[in-house]
Amino acid sequence: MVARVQNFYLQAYLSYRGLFHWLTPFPYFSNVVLAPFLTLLNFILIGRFASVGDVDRFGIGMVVYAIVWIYVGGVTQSFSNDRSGGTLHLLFASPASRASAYFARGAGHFYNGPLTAVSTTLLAVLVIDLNAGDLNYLTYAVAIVAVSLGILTFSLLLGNFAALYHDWFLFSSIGYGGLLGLTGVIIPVDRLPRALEVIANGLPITHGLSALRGAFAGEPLASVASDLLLELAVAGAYALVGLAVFTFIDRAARQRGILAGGEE
Amino acid sequence: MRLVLLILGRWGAVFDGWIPRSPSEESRFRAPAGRSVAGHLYALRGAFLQQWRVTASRYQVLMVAISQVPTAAAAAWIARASAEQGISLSIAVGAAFVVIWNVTVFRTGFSLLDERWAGTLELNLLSRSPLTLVMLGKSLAFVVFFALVGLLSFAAALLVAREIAGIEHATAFALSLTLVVLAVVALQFLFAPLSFLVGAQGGFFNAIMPLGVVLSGFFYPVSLLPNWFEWLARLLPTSWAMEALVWSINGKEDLGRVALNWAPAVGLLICFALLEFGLFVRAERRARLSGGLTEG
Repeated sequence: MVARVQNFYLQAYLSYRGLFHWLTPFPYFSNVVLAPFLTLLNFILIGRFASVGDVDRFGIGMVVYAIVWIYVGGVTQSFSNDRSGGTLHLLFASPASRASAYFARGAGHFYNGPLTAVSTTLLAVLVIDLNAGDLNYLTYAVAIVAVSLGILTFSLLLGNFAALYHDWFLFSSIGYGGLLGLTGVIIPVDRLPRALEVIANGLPITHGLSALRGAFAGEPLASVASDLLLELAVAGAYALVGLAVFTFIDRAARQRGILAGGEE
Repeated sequence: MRLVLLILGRWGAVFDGWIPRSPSEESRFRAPAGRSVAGHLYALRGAFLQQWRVTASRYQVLMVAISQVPTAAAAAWIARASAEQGISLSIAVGAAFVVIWNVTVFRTGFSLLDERWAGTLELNLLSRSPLTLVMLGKSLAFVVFFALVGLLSFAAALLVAREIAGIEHATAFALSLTLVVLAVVALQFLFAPLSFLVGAQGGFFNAIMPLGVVLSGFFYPVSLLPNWFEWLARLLPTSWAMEALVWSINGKEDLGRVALNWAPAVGLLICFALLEFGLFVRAERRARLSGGLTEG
């Protein structure tokens, strides 16, 4: 058991350090602190320009979107770099546990989600007066962790396709665009067309964001528990589907001899 | 998608016609001092067409549609709730400029890197036309192509906003629009040497894209920014020109006030052009002296 944990930790550490190319000081600061805050500022100011009243709504949405920015970009590039760097086929040739290898590719990234959410919240409060006077800290912390898990498992699923098609820009763009437009970050889910509303309910963020809005309104953990459980259920579903896709790619790669160093 | 590409392809062909193709044609343009104006135009055209052909692809249209249109739709959804006149149109126009800015800001510099890796940068330096002109041709290809693709964001924003307001000062709008285009070209051209020097270092520039959107005021007048942000924004020609553009749409300010914004925009544009020319001349001279361009 201890050996398995050590192996998981080693894989998580090595894949994070080796495959995540934003891990140098300026790119890291740029992606974890600056870019998410500037995106939030942008939407708050659009709201003020349009004089729509409650612009904090957009601010809270963009706090969650900060997590999307760092996870989707970070995890999809890690999968793609794994393939282009010529290390993915070594994993497929090894007898290592596929579940362990798959989740280790996301584990190293996990702390970035809460970190960027907190830094974006702090900057929003300090610079543009996001109202956090009623914030329930416990609900906030649990909601951020739940949403982070959902986005991380979604990013891992996208990562599979990034490795398969050797293009992380396309799949990260799908993640950025889809989660911005469909999860209630800016446009409330109940204002979407019916078909899109159904899709939205199956995406990460949608339920967790309701819980986070509750946290900013001072609601205790118990009153948003159902939203949090739904968010965790969505995260679990993406984890299972993602692992199934990863296993499928693994088998296909072994049978067809693809995914070696980026050449098919 | 096919239709968009067809239209874009035709646009590329348009630029084939307006610049001389052969030395005999060039001689008609030869300047008295012996310098070939036509030769420079020929180089500009060549750089433009080369970059256009590399860039104009279905993949690029798809990428912009996926990555930029949701932002435009979200911004337009906010504008939709506004009771004020002209907000939706301002946001839609701004969304097109956001596409141009976000997608092109580092492309010119990265195209220099590509040329370096491919070993063709030396050929640009052997040309008698200045490197600035060659890079300007490439840069214009990016701006024109992504401006056309940016119309997707413009259309999506109008579709979501469901309101097309009239333009209060049409002539001022046209002039301001021209100024914004020139300002975006100047601003993104400034980053070419920087992105060349820094290289394609992962994620280095990800904050500069939203920073440019915020400081340029593509979605709102920069007077809404916090004080110290506004001070920075006022150093960019885009902020003055966009503010004039917004006022010419909603008519909140009279023509005299709109025109007052053009002066700093033009002044800053000239400063940027001189700075960029100086930077490119220095970079070219250094490259020629050190001979350090060949990869590896």
